Amino acid sequence: MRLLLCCLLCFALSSCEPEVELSSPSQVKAVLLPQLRDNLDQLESLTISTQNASISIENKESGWKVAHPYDVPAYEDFVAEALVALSRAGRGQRVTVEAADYSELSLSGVDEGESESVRIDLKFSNLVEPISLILGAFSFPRDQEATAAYGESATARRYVRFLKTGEVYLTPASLTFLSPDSRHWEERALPPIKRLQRIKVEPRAGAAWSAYRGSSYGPIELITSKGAQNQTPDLIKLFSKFLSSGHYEGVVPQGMELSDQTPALKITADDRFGAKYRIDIYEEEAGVRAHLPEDQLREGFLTMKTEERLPSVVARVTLSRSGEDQGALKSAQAVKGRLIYLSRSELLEIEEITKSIGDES
Amino acid sequence: MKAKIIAAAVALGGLVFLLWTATKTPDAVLGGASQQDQVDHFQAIDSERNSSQKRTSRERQLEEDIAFIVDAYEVRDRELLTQRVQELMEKDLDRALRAFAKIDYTFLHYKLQFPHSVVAEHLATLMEGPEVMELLSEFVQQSSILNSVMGEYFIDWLDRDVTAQSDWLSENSSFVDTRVIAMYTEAIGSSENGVEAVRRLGQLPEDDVRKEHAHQKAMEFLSSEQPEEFASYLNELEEVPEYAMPSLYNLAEQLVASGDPAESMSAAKEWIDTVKDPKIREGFTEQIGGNFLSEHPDEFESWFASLNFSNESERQRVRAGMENHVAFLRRMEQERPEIDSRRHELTDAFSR
Repeated sequence: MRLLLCCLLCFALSSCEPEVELSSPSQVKAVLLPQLRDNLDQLESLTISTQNASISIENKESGWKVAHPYDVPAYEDFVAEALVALSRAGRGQRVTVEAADYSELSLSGVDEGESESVRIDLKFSNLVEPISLILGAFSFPRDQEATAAYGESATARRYVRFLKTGEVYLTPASLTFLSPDSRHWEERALPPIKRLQRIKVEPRAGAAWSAYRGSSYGPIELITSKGAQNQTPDLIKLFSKFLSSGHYEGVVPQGMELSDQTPALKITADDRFGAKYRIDIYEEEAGVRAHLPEDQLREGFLTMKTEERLPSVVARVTLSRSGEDQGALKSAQAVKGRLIYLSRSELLEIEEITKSIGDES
Repeated sequence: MKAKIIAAAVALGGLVFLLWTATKTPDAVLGGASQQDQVDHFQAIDSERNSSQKRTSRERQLEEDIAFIVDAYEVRDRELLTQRVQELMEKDLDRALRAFAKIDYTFLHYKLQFPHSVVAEHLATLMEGPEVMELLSEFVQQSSILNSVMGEYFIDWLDRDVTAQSDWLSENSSFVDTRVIAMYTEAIGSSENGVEAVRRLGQLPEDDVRKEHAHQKAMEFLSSEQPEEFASYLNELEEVPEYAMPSLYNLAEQLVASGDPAESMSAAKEWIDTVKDPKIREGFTEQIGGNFLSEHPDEFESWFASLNFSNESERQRVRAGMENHVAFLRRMEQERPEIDSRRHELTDAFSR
């Protein structure tokens, strides 16, 4: 009787897991995408889709672009690294998975149910058929130390299904860089403000103010409707860091409408080395970022996950003159007249100063 | 009347047209407005092409300069690297700085440090402090190499002309570069001009956001490296600021490590007694007394007997605190011997 119960229990437990049959170790060293490895320079586009997000990176004459609705230059270094990493990803072990079990391993596709799948489509100029595959669930090795040090995204393996042949592999790479989050793929640089010299802030509601300093590190004068005032710590912090990183958070997809066309805040800023900015701030970024499969992975000690990002603000940045940084200038030209997301941390001091001036008046 | 107005308008129009054609090239006039637009368009393209060619040549020049430096890294030759850095600066300083700003973290790859001090020294031979600071201000936020150069330059300036530097620091109240200020305050500790630099930091206006932190750190380093000079500086002050407490403790500890134990302890205790907060004062007394008890148990008893307490319970509490500190030192000696040996190294270094 006990033996019978044990057999029943074993059967019940095994039926909870999908039926997975691994291939022989000789197949493990092959690459997952030999066509990509052999035709890397012929790749025309890479499309990454999840159930609620999609992005295409296209190879144009002028370089890699993030396709519509983003329509901006891609971050070429990241694209190159991602494609090389994908072309070198090992195939891993062939796995036999019944079609009925696809959903257990998130391999069913992006259109079905509450899918965690990621679909990848690769189109080549010299190959007739595109390559399409589904990235499914992660599988975690038993090497606890490596996971603790580098995190799950560095150590996890992933189930992959080729749509054409139906072959499934457990590849020894997590492939988390294949994310439809546009911010990974965009070139997000603006010419940085190197030494802020003058700033003028005009809030839609509240008192306008401006601030100026005569030399790179000289005292800053705050000018309000009440006259000139001396510098405050907030003002010094603002002059030390405002847009000094030269990075924005990402471009707003084409076609997104603003709920209010009048800027909540108009900022004009000049630095000592020629950059002249006009920045119109509209509203806070709506909604939250789409859930992505890689979000569930723990980071390790050496690759600590960064803090959750504050919601950005939607801004329109116009650069009437730039400094020397041509790479950043190219990116700035691409977002000319476009709405972009700007980190709220850039605006914290401006908000504080505006508030304190409002309180005084 | 109407006909006259029309005739006058036509005549005026004709005159304007004649004047306008006189200022234009024949082709543009023959082609009318659309050709004019085309000319403007092509001029714009030409101008864009020219500016893009200029950009490209400037970019190419920058790439060549970077390659010139990186080649020296490639062969891992420190002398060659220094020589090339110098050569590039002598050829064109602005170009050189732009190239240096683009090779951040190359040293990590080649395990060869960039010669920051060579650049700092070169700048010092060419211009005065305020000009150097203005020149570097364009790069320091984006370039860690030039940020370090500014730090090196600032330390060099401290040794060369502390008065001019302190004047500049006082006038440039929005200079808050954390890294440069940290390098500067540390250098104050061992600089011959350290006391003057600390004095001038202490004279910054109260509303200067850098004052408390910079003055505190500079005093800490000075109290560790030059305790006697620091003690003289403290004597100048009408009131010792609250944030100077860690420096006072440093001073007391350094005094105990030098000279005759009992005499030094009395000097150290005098400084500790200037601490206003009774809890901090008692804590410092217990730690310094504990160190003394641990190192010189024989002299300790007579010194402790000479101390004045308001009552017996205070005497017992302080004594117990000192003994606890000794127990703590013993425990540390057993569990973390490296800390104890480091403490002895510091004491020995000071005695030398």
